[in-house]
Amino acid sequence: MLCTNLSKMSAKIIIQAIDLRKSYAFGEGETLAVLHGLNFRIEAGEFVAIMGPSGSGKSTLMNILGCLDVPSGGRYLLNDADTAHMRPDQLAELRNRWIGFVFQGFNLLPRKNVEDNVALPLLYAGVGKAERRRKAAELLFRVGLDQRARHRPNQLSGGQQQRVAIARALANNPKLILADEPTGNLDTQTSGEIMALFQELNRGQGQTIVLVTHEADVARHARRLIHIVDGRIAEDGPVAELLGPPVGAGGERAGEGTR
Amino acid sequence: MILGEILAEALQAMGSNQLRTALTMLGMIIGVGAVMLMLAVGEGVQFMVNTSIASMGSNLFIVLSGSSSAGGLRGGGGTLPTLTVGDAQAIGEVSGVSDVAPIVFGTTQLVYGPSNWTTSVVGANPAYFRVRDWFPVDGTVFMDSDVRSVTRVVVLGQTVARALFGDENPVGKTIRIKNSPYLVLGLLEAKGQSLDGRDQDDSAFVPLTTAQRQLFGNQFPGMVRFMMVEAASQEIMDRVEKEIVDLLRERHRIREGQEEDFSVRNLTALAQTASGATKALSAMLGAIASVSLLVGGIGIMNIMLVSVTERTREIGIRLAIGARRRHILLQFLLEALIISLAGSFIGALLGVGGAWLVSTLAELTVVITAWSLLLAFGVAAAVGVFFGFYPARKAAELHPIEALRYQ
Repeated sequence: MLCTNLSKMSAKIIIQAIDLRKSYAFGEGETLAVLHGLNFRIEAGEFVAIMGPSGSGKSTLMNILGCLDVPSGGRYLLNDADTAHMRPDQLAELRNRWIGFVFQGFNLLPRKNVEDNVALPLLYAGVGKAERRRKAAELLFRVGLDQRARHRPNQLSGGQQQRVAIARALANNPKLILADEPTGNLDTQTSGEIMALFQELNRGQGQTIVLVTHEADVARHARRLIHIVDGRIAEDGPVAELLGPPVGAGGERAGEGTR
Repeated sequence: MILGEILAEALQAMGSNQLRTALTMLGMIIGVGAVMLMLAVGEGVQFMVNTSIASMGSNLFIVLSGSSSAGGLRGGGGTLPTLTVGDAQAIGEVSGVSDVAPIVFGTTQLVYGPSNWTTSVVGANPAYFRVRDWFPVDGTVFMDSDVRSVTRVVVLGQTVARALFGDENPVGKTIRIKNSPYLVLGLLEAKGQSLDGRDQDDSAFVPLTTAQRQLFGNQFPGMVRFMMVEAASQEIMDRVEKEIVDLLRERHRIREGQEEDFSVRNLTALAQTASGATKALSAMLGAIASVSLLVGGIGIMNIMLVSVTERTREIGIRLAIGARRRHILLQFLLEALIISLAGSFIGALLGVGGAWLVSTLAELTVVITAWSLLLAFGVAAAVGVFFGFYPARKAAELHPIEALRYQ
């Protein structure tokens, strides 16, 4: 069923990593290589979990995928655009139009109300005020928070704040949602609700999602798993094959699911 | 245009920390207020000096007779009667001289009915009023024919007229000077204080010959105490001065190397010195006040730097969701600019209020010019941009990853 679903897609490649490398310079010529040449591609409509222990390089990979950083070797193509030699403002435009971020700490602006937070990417995209409000209201309705538009983020629960963040990520109809430990600050039940929301976005609207996590329970909500160890891809395949039966079926836990 | 949106973001950020915004603004308020006040006082002093200078007349020389010298006892300038009406006529022939007003004067009592007033009575010719740019508000001044026929007529200054006549119109009335009747021909416009603070309106004027023969009759007929000489233009004053000196030396038969028995003073040069001094004073006051403006600007930079550090994470979020560097730069720059402009507006109001208070309490002339207002605003805007730019650029050049990671 999963295969048929995939084959129905036009199989447009959203992300292409070719021998992707990243190293950091330390003082006199010393460099620390974090990513050692990754090769993978992610097609439109996929829901990919990137797993790995801390220090494995998954955050670095996440930053490059999110155009917050550029690779020091190899190529990263986002929707066929090579980010390697882009200027900061070009990267900002990619982040604005093609990528929606969801962070572990929610990262909402505390002084703005929920609606203004959701509308902020639209503001930087140059959308007019009336259209921003209309779009923000629509997105808040989609995540079930249309009644909270005038609240401040700190008046909401963690799960609600993360829903606001997801609504914000969807503001400019991005080609890709990048979620970095989106449930790391949430309890089990709320985590489940947030992951269900991601699944619904993926299945219902064909939204491409890349999720970084170190929890197998979270990763099980995705369909494909890329396992990174020491800056290399250790495993890449369907979640069901790599992690065994899903949560609730009494399956074993892979990775270091600490809770 | 996204500028309006970013302005709204800047205003929102300022509104969420009102106390800090107000305190930062206070620096600008005090700075601009001080500059406004100092400029107003400086301009006021300049205005007073320039008014005095203008009241004197323009392109003027004063030719004084020399000092008397008897047995080692030397009197001051003008004590030795060496200048004559003949000298005045000769100076009138010098090219470039447009008017010569020979003058005698003394102090005597004026009587009208029950009132009397002792004042300086000046004997002059009609040229005097032209040289001084001094015109009657009522009646006329005397004419050359009055000087020729030694008529008993008088023109009064405002102070004298008020002392003798109160609110009554003096023109056409007759007053007594030294027991002789004098017809009041005219009332002069108010001239105000001279550069040295004398009340110029406290004088009465009679024809030169009348003063010489009727009032201050003396042992030297035809002598004058001093002359006012007007040159046709400022540029030729040096040449005219030299020619007057040469002419008088020749007329007074003063040999080479002998001390002159007269002196020629360039009043306009003196006035320019005074005007220059007040300009310098005004500039100095402004400069001192500008220091507080500078301090206010540094205050803005300081707060903006703190604000950028505090809001590093916010900047990171904005960058992550697609803000360009110029959006961040503009937001912080606008915050600084708004603080400095709003501060300067309030400061300008306070400065104007303070100037008004000074003029009321200290009875000082203050002048607020559009120029000083413009200067205060221009400088404030420049301060905002200048001191706001560094923090704003610092904010704009943050790396999104590091900014996001900032706790």
